[in-house]
Amino acid sequence: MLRLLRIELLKLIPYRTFKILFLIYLLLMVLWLVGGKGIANTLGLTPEQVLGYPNIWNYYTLYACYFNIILTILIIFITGNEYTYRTLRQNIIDGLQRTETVQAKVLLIITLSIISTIVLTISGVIGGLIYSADADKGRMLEHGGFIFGYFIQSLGMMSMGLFFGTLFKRTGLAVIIFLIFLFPVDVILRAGILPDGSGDYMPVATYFLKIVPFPLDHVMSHGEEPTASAPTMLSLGVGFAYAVLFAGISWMITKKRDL
Amino acid sequence: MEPVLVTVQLKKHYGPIQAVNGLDLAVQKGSVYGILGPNGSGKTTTLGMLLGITNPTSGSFSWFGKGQIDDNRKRIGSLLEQPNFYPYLTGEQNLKVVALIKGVDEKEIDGVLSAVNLLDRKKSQARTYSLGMRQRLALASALLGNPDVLLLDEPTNGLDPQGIAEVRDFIRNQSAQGRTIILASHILDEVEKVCTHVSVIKKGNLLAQGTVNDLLKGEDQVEIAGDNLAALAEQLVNYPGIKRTELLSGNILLHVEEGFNPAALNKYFSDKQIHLSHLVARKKRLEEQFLELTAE
Ligand SMILES: Nc1ncnc2c1ncn2[C@@H]1O[C@H](COP(=O)(O)OP(=O)(O)OP(=O)(O)O)[C@@H](O)[C@H]1O
Ligand SMILES: [Mg+2]
Repeated sequence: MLRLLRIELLKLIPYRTFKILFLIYLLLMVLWLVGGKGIANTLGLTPEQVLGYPNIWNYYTLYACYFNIILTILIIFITGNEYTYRTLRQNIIDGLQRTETVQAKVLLIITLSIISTIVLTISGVIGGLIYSADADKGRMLEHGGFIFGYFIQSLGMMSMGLFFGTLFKRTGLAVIIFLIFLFPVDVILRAGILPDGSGDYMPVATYFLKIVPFPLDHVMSHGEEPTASAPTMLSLGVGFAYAVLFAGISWMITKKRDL
Repeated sequence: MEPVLVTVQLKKHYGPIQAVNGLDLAVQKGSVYGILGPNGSGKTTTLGMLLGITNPTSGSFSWFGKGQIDDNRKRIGSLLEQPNFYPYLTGEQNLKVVALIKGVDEKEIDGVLSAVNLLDRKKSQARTYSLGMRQRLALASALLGNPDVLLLDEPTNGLDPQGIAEVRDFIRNQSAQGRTIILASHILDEVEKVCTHVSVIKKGNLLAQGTVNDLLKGEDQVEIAGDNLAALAEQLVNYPGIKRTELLSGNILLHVEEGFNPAALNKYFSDKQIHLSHLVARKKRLEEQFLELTAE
């Protein structure tokens, strides 16, 4: 197991696109905290109501889920690269099992999900310390369930990236189709074609609307109503099931095809 | 001699295209085994199946008497078509990936790099290597872990004459150290120069398999002509040293054994009061023989 992860890290760390994309991700995470006042403002709320404990976990993860699109694209790149460089083929020629090639990517996804969750937790704690009203400073990890929700969302999104990269092989094509799937297709299917409500747990809806819901009541009531305290078990379960499904299909494709 | 590799009715069909059509190969330990065939004859497809990247349509193969398990490949160093590397990694980092996959100590990397004269460029990204350097990096990679078998697909493709000579020396060297080598090539001369055994394939079919000496050694031929070709041919039926007689339009072509004496043949005819108008002894060129083997 550790050997597979070491192989993946050896390939990943010197990769410039990884460094650039990960830096952009980190910048966005910090930027959100810095620009949080403005965001609160546009929502008609005070900075303490959005960036203070415990609401920050709902609001921060809500946006961080979008930043995960960058990590997903990174996974599409490194998966597609293995095909365009023909290195997947070479890895197998050198003795890796087909199953191991997918396992290695899944291990990398888990690792990156842990890292991004740690980044979110640390910067969320710091942001909360800065913005919380004194009375709320002790409520640091209330609503911390969203942190776990973010972890599941990271897993699921990157697993989706693995699936798109594996299916389409060419990185550019895979990224474009992923983005199309992310915005128009899923939305049209949900709003226009599937019967009302039945598309609520489509992958994109689950990852962007269900696990971390927009705290509508909180905003409408100008902070009078509380935000949700944690993701629902249903949304976490469905989100995790998709993660497993995407990785599983990628495994089946890799197992079957000529490389 | 134990076989390193055996294939049984190995087949790969792409829709209607029969890329490999029931190959039965046997490679003995210590041999330099050539797979010779024109472009598109199924060499790469065959090697791809043997290396686990192409799924056979039917048939089977076995490495080291252990069947098709994945770990077999850790004992095989291969270069399949062009070298494949992570272009943004250095030569050394690329070999680290291979070492980790094969479970080989990273300390071996410098050794194999110096074996192919790349040690001084090990810190350069693979994308900055020339074609020849990439080929050498691939050979270094194939040597990692001291494999029992080297499997090379057109290893001299695209190299200049010096590069080609280097690769051939490399193969001879490796063979001298006791490694079994499997070499796919469409170049007859190459197979003839470095291989001990050869199989000739065409359109996925095995045409011949044997030692290079038996299959590809230049054959002696004698051409004769006279007034009455049929009568000439009749006189030759019991003549010693003739393997085959071909009656052509203006002459007779004799496929003869090594050391055949044309002067004695001439005397044999003149003793019978038959005079030859034409007598030429020659060695058939290898190219012709290859073309004959692979002709329709
Ligand atoms: N992925 C594929 N899909 C369809 N046909 C294929 C595929 N790969 C190979 N073929 C066909 O299989 C046949 C054998 O190809 P292969 O690459 O094995 O030949 P080769 O002997 O290696 O030739 P060369 O000397 O040109 O490298 C060819 O007719 C080729 O077009
Ligand atoms: Mg080929």
